[in-house]
Amino acid sequence: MHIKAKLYPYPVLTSFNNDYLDSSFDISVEDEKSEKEITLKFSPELKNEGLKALIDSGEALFVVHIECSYTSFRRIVKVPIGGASISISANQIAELLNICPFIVAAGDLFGYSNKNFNPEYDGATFDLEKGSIMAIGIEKAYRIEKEDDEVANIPSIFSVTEIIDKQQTDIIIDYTGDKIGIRLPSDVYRKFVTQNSNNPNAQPVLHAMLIIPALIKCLEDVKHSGADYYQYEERRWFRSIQKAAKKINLEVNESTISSIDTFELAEKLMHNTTSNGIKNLSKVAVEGGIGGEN
Amino acid sequence: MKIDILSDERIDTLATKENQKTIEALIQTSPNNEWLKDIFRDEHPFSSSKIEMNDFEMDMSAPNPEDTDCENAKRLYEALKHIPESTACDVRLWEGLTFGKFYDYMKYRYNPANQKNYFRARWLFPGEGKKRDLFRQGLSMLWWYAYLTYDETQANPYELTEFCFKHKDFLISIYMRSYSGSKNVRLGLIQALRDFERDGGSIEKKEVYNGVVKYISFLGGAYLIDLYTREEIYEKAYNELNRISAELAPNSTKRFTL
Repeated sequence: MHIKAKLYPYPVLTSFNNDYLDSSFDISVEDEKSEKEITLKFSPELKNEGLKALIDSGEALFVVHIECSYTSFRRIVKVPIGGASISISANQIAELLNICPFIVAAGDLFGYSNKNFNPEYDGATFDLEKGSIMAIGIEKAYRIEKEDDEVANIPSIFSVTEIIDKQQTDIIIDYTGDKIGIRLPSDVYRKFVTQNSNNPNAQPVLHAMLIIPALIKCLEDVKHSGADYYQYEERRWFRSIQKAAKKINLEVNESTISSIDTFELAEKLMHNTTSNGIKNLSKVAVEGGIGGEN
Repeated sequence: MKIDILSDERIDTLATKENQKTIEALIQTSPNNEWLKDIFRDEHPFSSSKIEMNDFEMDMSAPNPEDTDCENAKRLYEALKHIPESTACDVRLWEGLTFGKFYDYMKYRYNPANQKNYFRARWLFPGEGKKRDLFRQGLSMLWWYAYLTYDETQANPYELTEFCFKHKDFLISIYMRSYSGSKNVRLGLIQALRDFERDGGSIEKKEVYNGVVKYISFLGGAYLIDLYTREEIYEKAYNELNRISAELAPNSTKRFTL
């Protein structure tokens, strides 16, 4: 449920309007993730005596709306004044979990008024129906990354595939999806796969030849993405890079990306594969590594 | 039986833009899916998953393959009702079934020779939005539509599924609405439509089913509709259907009001 800054026919306590004065509302969320579930702990924070009185009398409710659009998961949780915690099975959610706090009318509410209403509502009263939204907190989004997923495992953010059409001779890099796709002409693909899986000495050489340039290309595009930066945060390969960079104490985000040396970052993420590749060149040549396969 | 799945890399190879024409041609010209072994140079192109499924066959008896959709949605959901939602979003599962167990069904229902876009839109997940893809791909679509309409409280839990497959436009119009995630709201709305038709009302006009779908969206903007019981949603939707229907009546002079 995405809350837009919209107008209601009665005062609603939100951060994006001034229907109420000297008032605020939110429900803070603490999360704890394990492999099997995510536990969310909710603590309401309300500054408005009139709404507090309605909550105390049961005429209004603290409610948290939880939604994972991808898996069609949607649930509401009624939160008591002292807070509540719930667990959601990891099996029910994927990608993104949106959480939005509300205060809603528990039943029909006639003649509602609040002493903190903006003076423009001077003396006005409102009849609210059951479920009417009376206050909206800050919407929060949680990215669901399964721990056993490929996150922070840099090589697996690449998908190296074969272009079956023998006429195709170009290498294509496609980073519009969740992985960085590297498409190789058929004969090149065969050599790459054979060497990459059978010859450990050749691996850093191949990575330096293919993976590093692909990674630099992608990072350079992020660097120059400007207003389109948010699109990259949607892609799993970029989030994996951010997470892997964090492990080596590097922050990759909208404000740091412009000053990042993409070659340096790519090398660090790939554990200096270019240097290792050069060192391995003699071994590859001696053992008839690259080019030794028919 | 354990379901055979396809790895991400293999799916990428099949779905890569540069390979699509070749794969489409192979589907059209080959009698079975043996060509996968050649493409991947592997006698076992699939890998086994942990997902169990009672073996069954799809219905391929109708001259018009679309007529089997409801029956096949029921068969597929019945066999895979136990899988969690996150697994039902897993492309590897559906592509494994598409190119493996249900390859013949896919050729029957979505033969690329019959429609230009079938291979990309129905065999693959073309990346036009993850949720949209799930509700378009030939097999995942069947599972998800059954999932959204299955009602275990009814003697025939597929009663609303059957109704929705008769009115596919309606089904398509609700799955992207965020309230479709709420079972009470979703089933209350569908049941109202089903009963409205059963009681003699007509939902053939787009204005009718679109109108009630928009009405529930409107409610969701002002109220937290998840607080409503299924019966309350049903009543509101049924009343709205009556209102829209009266408005559309030939001699109606009523004007649109909220």
